[in-house]
Amino acid sequence: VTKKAIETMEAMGVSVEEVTLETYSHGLPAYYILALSEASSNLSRYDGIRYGDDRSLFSSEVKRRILMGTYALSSGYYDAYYKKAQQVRTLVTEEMEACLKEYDFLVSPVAPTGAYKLGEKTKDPLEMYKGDLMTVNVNLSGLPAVSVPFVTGGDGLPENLQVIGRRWDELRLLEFGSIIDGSHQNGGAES
Amino acid sequence: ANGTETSKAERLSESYEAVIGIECHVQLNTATKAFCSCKNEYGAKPNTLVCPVCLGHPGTLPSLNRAVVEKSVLAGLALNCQISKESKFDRKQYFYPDLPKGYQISQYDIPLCHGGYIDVTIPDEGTKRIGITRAHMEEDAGKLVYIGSDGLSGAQSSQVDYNRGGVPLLEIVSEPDMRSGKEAAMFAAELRRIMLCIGVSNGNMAEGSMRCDVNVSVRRRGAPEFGTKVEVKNMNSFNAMQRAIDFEFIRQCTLIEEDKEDEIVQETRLWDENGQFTAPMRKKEGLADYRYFPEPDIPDIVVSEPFIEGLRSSLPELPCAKRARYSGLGLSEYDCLVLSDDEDIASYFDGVLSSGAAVKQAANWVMGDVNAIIKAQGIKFSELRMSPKSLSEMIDLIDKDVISGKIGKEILPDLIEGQAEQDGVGAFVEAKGLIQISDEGALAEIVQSVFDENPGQLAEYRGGKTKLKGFFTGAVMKASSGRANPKLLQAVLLRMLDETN
Repeated sequence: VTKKAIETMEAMGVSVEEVTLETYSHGLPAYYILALSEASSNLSRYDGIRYGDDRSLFSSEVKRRILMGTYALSSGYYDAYYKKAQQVRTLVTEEMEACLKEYDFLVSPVAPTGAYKLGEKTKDPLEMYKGDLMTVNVNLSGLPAVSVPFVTGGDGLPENLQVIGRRWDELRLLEFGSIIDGSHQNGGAES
Repeated sequence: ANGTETSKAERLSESYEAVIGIECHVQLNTATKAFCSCKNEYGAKPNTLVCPVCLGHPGTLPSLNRAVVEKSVLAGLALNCQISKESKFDRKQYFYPDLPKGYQISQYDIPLCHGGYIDVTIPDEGTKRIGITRAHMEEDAGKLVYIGSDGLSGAQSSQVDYNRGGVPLLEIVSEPDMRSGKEAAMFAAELRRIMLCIGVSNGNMAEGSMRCDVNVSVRRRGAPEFGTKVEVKNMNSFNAMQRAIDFEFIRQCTLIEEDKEDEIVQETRLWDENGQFTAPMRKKEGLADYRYFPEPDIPDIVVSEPFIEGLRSSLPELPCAKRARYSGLGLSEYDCLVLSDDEDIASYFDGVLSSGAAVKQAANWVMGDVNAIIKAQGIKFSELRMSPKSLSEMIDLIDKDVISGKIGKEILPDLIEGQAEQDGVGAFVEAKGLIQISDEGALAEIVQSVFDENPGQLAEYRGGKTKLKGFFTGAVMKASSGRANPKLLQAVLLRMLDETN
């Protein structure tokens, strides 16, 4: 999908360059520490006293996340996990922002693989988490991003492009997204 | 404390000293809670001052109340603290039924205020500077109520009132600079005085708007290292704080003397007001892990220099400055302490002074006769119908010998009812015919008429029974309806009594 994207955009008159962000892939483990830490805390209000049911009714994925998040915040582990993850978050964000000073948008596939069948990966949570590789950095950095329908793969499943824009630049981001939106077969470029 | 306890403490004090630190939680009197717009009010029907935010409902977010930051900075400045220009909130996480979110929004490693002090005046012992380690913002939890019993044991059920949940607190931590229960009580009293003076709290220990916990350890005098620290909670008054600390001092020293120093363990003990002792709060559970991390839902608190200076310039005269001012006027340490104890009496006293009254007389009248009536009627100085100006006027009339001090005391109740407010005290005493007789001739006439009516006593006096002077003084006073100028009367009376025809 990436090759097709470059071809299509260049044909529209968009100037495209491939860049390497060294820190990008480190966002995934940082995200899973930070998000789960916050979740373990946010979910502690479900104590069944004012509303809701017994906590044992949480699904296995929720319980997994609560346990991991609590662990990452525990005394003796906070510095190695939570604090380190926040520092990685800063580096990832800074590198993306620096890149976006030179370029208008960062484009990537939304996911490293196509959509998988229901239940196909349920027994392997880490495999499922890996699917977030491209997108979690948006959560960590707070930069605006859109997922744009692009092509349909041979198996009939969609393959989308993620476009990340500069901070507060949502308007241009949405305009660019609508230009490369594959579902409308726009053609004709406005750069 | 009974006699043996006091002497035991005295004996132990020769070899040991207590090291005491205090943690105070002060409720800030903002109109609404710290993170939502529920009213901040005491005594409302349970669970009527609540909303989804302070109940911790799903999907709610905290919204910081600006007044919490303003009052906290103001308090920090009054405590001579450094103010952190950038600080944050943190989540302190633990489970308890009165904590709806399962965490308390507090400040952990970067408190808003740090590195301050207050000067505490201890009667007859001088002034001592007690350090303030830090003061930080946090939210209060709800209140547990037990059905069928005073406490947990014997209760049929527990209920939670969330009205108090989310109320803003300032946690003030002192350095371990105090060395006795008395110093600790005076520190807490001065802290409260300051909070009331700057108007950030009503500091009511009985209502829970000011809660104090103490940390007590003991060591041999001269020892450089600290002993094991014991936390004591559940004291409902400054007095109870003093007694609890004195009890702990004796308990810990006694254990050391009995060679049982290792029985002093780091624990939390509760003060039992009925039994007048401390007892361990619960079995050892190990140190709590609060899993602190920065509160992700609230942006950093950034306070600018102009913001801080604006608040600093709004500080009123603090109690220590007031005491210094009164001392500079020549008042005794005791007088300074009484007159500066709270805004109510100080404000009235200042009013009397600014109306021109002499300092010592003003102090005596305010602290003495007026205060007695205040206490008897259960009112405040600010509620008196007698204006400070009127009291000042009365003092001036006495000073000028227009009326006697005795008359002053007699008319005080009338003045307090406001009878002299419209036309002034001078007109009042004139209308009542209370003006002192200071004319020698007039006095001599009255004395003579008393002599004429009491020839027997006069003869006895002149025969040597000089004690009868008192009789004549009283008689002349009575004959003059109390208006005779006492000093002049004595002079005239003596002269006329000793005259020989």
